[in-house]
Amino acid sequence: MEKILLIGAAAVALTVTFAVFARRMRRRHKTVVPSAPPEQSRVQASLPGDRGQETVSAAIEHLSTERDEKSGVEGSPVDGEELVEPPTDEALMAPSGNDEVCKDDTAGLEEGEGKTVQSPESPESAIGGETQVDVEVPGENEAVSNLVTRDSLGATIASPADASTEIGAARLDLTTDTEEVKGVEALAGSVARPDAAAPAAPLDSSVEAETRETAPVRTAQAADSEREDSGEGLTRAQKTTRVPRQYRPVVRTAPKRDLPSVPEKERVQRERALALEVRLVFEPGGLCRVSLLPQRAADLPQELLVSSMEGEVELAALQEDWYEEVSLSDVGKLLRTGIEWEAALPEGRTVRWSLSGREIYVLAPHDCFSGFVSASRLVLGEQHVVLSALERGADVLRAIEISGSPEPEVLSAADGMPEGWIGFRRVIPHKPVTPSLAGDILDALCPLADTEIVLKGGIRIGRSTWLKEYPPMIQLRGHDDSRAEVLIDGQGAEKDESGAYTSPGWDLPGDHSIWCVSASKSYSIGVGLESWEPWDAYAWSWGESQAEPEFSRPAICGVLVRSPRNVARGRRPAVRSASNPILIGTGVGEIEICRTPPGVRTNVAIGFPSFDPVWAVPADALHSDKRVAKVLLVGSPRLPEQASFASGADSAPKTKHARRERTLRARAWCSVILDAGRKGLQPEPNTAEISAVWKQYRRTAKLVWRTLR
Amino acid sequence: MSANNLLLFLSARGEGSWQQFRAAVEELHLVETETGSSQRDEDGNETGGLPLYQLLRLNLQRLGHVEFFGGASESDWRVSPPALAVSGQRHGKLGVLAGARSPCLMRRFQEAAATLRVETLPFAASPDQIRIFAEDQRALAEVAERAGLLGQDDAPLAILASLPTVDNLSLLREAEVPVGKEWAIDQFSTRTLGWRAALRENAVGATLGLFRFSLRHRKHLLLCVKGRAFEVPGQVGKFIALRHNRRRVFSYEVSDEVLCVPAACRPPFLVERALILCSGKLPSYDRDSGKLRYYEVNRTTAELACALLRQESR
Repeated sequence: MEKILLIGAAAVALTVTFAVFARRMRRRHKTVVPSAPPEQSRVQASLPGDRGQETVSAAIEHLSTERDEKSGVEGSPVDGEELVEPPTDEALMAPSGNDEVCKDDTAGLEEGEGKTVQSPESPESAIGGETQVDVEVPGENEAVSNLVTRDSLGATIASPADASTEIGAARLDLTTDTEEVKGVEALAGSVARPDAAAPAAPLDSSVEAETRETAPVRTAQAADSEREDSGEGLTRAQKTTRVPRQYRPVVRTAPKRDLPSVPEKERVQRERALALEVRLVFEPGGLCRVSLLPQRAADLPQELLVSSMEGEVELAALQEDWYEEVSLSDVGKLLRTGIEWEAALPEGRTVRWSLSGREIYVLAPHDCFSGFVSASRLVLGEQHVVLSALERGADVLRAIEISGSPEPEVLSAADGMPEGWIGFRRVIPHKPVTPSLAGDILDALCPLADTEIVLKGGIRIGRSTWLKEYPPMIQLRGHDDSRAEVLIDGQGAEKDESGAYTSPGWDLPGDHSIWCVSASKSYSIGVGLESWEPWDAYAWSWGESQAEPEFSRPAICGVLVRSPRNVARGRRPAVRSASNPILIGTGVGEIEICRTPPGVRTNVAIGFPSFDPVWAVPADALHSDKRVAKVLLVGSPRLPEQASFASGADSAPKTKHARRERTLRARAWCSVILDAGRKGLQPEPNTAEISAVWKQYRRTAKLVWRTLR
Repeated sequence: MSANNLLLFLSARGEGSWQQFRAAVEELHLVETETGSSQRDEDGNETGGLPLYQLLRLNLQRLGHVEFFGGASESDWRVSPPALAVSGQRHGKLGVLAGARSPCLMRRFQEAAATLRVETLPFAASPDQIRIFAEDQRALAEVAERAGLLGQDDAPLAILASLPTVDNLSLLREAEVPVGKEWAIDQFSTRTLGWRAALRENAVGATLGLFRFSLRHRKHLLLCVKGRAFEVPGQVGKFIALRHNRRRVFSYEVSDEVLCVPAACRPPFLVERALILCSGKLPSYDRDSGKLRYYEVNRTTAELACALLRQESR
């Protein structure tokens, strides 16, 4: 009996010790014990060896700044994210709740179902945010690191922090900028591909975080093992220590209001993994072949040797953006567990490819390749091939049926399907299906409504800017779903009789965003110009563009007539009868002679006085007919400025020329008034008040005239 | 959507290219809403075939809201500053709102003119014409000041007095007569007030005549004078030719203050702008007589317009 007890205790101790040790190893080295390499691929797992102490604190600095308040869990990395930080202890212990999901979709992550958790990925656009899905670590898995573990406290360990603060931040910014939306969509689209996601670290904290400290180490190691050709030659890289991620579906939820976006300067730039797409080709004879398509960046060599836990793989360039497809014998297993490839570049960089493991792959026609290439989800009206793990075949078939697709053709191992997989050919969905709110791998089989947000009407004054008080009508075009939720600036929008959506403040100046389950858009309301300056549109011309401007002639702008360029600007035109062309102002010397248009026999004269005229006097008063000729009051009856000229005011001009000019003008002013008085011309209207004012002008003119003499 | 929205758009932008103008016409769906009625082009022809954007451009130009091409500085179009064009009427003064408009400006104008009579006249392929009536010029000046508008007293006369006479050849640019048999050549007939086919020799040997050279999308209007040719705006050239042949086409009804001219001899747009500002109304077309009628044109304005065009009103 005692022996039995001792043996039992020892076993328990060993188990605990092993678990602790394994946990420590995962934390430290962020790797898993590699499985035996397959014979064909000669893949060698690259153990980083002393990769450095991947401390949680070191990882924290790479954590996404985006953190769901409820869960405290940060989103998972997104496509291309190199840095996949392990969650903090807090994150590990935090309850799931409505967690912000990392971009990576999590396949089959259903709370409490104990299903295999795929590494996070972001097949879907990040628009509207994602919901983190509670994941649960299955009991077994050789790729332990791929799995989310539920700790002993039952807390769900979220997927690794969303390393893409950039995308995470952009996610929040998406609601305000269509361009960003597109950019993120494109990014997310690439992420959406099953293998394109950044290596979301396994949720059991064995997430690898490529710190700057460790990267150089690996680089050095890679350099040490470099071959002759540093440029084009294949570089034997060490086995990658990065564990493939599990796929996590992205749940499209409405954007949250009042969440500040990460400032540009605080966004951490992360290197993203390249895409690793799944491709299926039907060969003559009816057999199908599943392979992998590695993406190629512009700066990558034509040939490259990549390493993974399974060994090394040689890549050869096919196109500028793609390497040739790679066929692996154990592709069936790799599709489930995920793939992580890594290669060291001569310049010290490393490049990664990532394919998150999952149970369902949606393949669609591709622009650049024949056959079918992995896609984020089914698209209405398009033909697809769906790969499903055997155990999910029934679920997949049901989901395909719900999408309105005709009955697909089933592909089995006999048709060339990888071991453990079943394929569905000629899947053509015709009905949109609302994806689950919790996130489910089957969401990839939910084609979204082909809904488009349309902005109509109003007065658009910019690319996406409408004039204030003339906003656009916001409508949905496409699949008619009257229950579709539409948010404007995060608020629920109401639909009116005309089908336009509005919400409080939707038409106020500023930036606005529109969101629905399948699309989003942004627009702005702005104020146009409120001041307009006149210019010399036509100066002494009939409107032809080649006319030379006349500087001595007035110019026309709209309904305005502007003073000639050779006189002071800003003078307003005065149109008078040619019989009274001389304008007199209150100041001594304020005199302007209006002129008739040259070559025209008319009774109209125009001038540009620099003062406010009071009188219009006949040109030659002494020889006019005083029975007809009058001194016209053309302004308000103001008294003359009393002898400002005669008293030698301080405003006297300083230069001799100016003084002479002033004297000449004063003489003309006095002469016109005195001549009209001498002739006996009467003011008009001839009232007592106006006559008294005119008399005062005559007195002033006489006084000034004596002074000038 | 109407041309009012087009003016709001143009005002919000300030200036732009011809493509932007055309795109705005399309986007505002003006083609669906603006139906041209008795619209005539610069030649006085029925505008059944004239694109709507051209009609809009011509009307915006005539009304002084927007300047195009040669008058638009460095752009293809440019909005004139908002102004109140004042002119004398038989009883009181008339102010016509012209130039840029914005919702804010229109509210200010309505508030400033609350105590005066304001009239809005719709026209096809044109923004609404807004007229304001007052006893004297000072009231209108105050309205303009409160609304933030520029004021132009005696606008029709001021514009006319700033124009040269039509036969001032010193303003014309000399050009070469196109060579080649592919050119279609027409000469303006002062008798029929229409175009008739002509030869290049006619143009070269003409004492004075207006000729139109057309080749596909290219069109040149040349005033040919004793072997020399000058580029000339079409309507200006017609009046030069009419002057040369002593042909009088204007008529003036003193009692109604209506100035009439054959539609084929539509005045140059700057003269027409002044005539329109007398009443704020676009001219109407009388199908029976084939003439354009400009309303509320006082005698002085009519005489000056005729004098500039070397016409004497009957």
